[in-house]
Amino acid sequence: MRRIPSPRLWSELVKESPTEQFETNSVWSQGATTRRIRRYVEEKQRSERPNSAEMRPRRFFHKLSALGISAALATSWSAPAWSQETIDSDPQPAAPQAPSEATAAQAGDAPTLESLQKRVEELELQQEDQEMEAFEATAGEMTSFKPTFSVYGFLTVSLMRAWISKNNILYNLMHDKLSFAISNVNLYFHSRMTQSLSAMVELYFTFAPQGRESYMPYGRLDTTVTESSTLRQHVLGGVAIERAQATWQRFDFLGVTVGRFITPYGVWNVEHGATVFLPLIPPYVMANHILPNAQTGLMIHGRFFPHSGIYLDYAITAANNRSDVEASLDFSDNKALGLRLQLRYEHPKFGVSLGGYGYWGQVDIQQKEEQIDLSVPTIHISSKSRDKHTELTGALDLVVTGYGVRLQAEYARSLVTYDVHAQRIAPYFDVVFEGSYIPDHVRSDGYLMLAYELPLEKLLGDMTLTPFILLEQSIAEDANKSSNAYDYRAGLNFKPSSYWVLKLEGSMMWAPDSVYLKSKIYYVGAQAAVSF
Amino acid sequence: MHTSHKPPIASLLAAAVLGLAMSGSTPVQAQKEDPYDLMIVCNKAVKDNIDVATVRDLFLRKRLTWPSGANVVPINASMGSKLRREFQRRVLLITDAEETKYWEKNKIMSALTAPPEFEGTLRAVFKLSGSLTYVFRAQFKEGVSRVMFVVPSDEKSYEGGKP
Repeated sequence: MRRIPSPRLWSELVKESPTEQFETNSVWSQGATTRRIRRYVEEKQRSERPNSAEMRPRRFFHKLSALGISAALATSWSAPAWSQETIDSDPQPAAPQAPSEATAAQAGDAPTLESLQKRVEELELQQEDQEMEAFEATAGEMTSFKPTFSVYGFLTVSLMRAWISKNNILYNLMHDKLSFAISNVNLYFHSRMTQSLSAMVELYFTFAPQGRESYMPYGRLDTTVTESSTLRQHVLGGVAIERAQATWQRFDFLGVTVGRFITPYGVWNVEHGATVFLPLIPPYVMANHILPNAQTGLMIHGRFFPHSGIYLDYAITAANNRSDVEASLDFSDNKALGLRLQLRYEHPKFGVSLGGYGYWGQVDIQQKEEQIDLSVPTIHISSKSRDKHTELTGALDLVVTGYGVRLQAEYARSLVTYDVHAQRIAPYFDVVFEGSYIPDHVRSDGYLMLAYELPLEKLLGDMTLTPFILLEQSIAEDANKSSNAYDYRAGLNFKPSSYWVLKLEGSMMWAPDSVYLKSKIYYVGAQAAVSF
Repeated sequence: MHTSHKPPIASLLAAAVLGLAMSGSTPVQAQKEDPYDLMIVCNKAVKDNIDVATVRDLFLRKRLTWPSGANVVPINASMGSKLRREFQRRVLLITDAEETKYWEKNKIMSALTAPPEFEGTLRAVFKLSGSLTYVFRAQFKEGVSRVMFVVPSDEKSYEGGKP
């Protein structure tokens, strides 16, 4: 007579059944374990069931023994009681027995199948009750959203060298000696106060204006100061507020951001951080500020989901018009308006994104004059526009990614129409050309970048090595071709981990239509960008 | 001459019963419950139904709310845990390193950060309204959360340790 599985079956049960692993893992797994063991034993026995009719009587005992083991195991979890009373032929393994069965067996009153089943069910229910109590006790703390606050940022260290020929007007004007530079120290403070409300401040620390050169007469700003008590020398720098924004986002389709935010145009401007974008130097479309890189005002934004994997984002911006003080003042009651639309399709291996941003603004840079009449006495402040124009700009961006390839392109075109023409100012020198005014014009910038993440997983693991080329054209003023510039770049982006990037880049800049900038300018740069 | 080849009614009934039985049993081929099955579960108060693509969006914060408009609180397992890696592989379709890169990028771009992590994900969704998480079937407990759907295990699920 056999009431438990054979030793071979038992060893298979322990070895093969994954339930064995769970017993130590979770407080509530033992009830399930009992059920699984019972199921496993039954399945195992069914699969080993002999076809011969003469073996039929054994089925009952197999089933009975399986239930016996299950019941015994379940009982042993709460009150260990080990007994081998029911094992008549196989001395091993030592199967646990429920006390009631053990007692019954001792008394010579063999348990019936029904009584064993009932006992197992009782034990399972009892076990589940205990588990639920334990679960509720440990889950009690996680009942509501907890506000978060985090500080993080990124910094970049660059090493650059330029080569400028002597017949180029930028010779000795643009720094060309091999130099290290701390080009970014950006610090973020971010808090999510509720599930819908968050705030973020991004500060940009810089050594500027240290080393700033001015001409006519020449001077170079030195911000070094000596602390009188310790005689330590410090180079004073500056802090710029890159972003300071509060966002309410209760719904996917509607969010509101107020403060100073990044203009939602293009790819580069939105990627923003040196650890995110591939190349080292921003494109002309950003350097020339054909659109404001950041604005102070209000942005309404959201996202729709037309189909699985497809996202339609929008943003409407209303902000101060551009001026030298636009971060905190606007010289006009009208506000600059913008509309961003972006359609994206994302697949784990492939993605396409097409975006556009339209911007309309009225720039009115006013100059004030004071008139003091000491006889009354009164003071009268008058103001007049020294640059008043309307700008209408459209920008497009495209990103295609797939199988390691990244194709990225941006193009922006702006129509500038003057009411009061601005005087032309010589760059670098900040010298006004008397009698020379900027006419209505169209300006545009565009670039195309092609990058390929080399398939070196076996060699580099999670590290990525991405060579890229970038071609760019900048037309600062369509009526003045001498300002047209071209830039051809090639580089390598090596990302050892998520937190840092090493970049190497070479470039050739060329302004073929300019008398003064006709000779080519070369530069080579390297950068380490780290996020923390 | 009228010839009738009508089959007996009993035969028709038998065929119909057999057909029904076949249609009910053959294609269904009940999926075996596996301890490595990934169960996508949410707080019991959530009434919405979502698919795996939406779960992916929610855990990557591309989507912030349930279809009904209520806020979602995705709860992640600890980074590097077997449960998290299986969720990344079977649902997010990215690796551990790729997810880290994703969050580093979004943190800098738009202050978007990864969902909070809890070691006992099932415990976290028990009382936290709008919460969503995942758990191995082996660790699942009836009655404490609502099962949205199950992502079945595959051969790779058995690599790299027990649930």
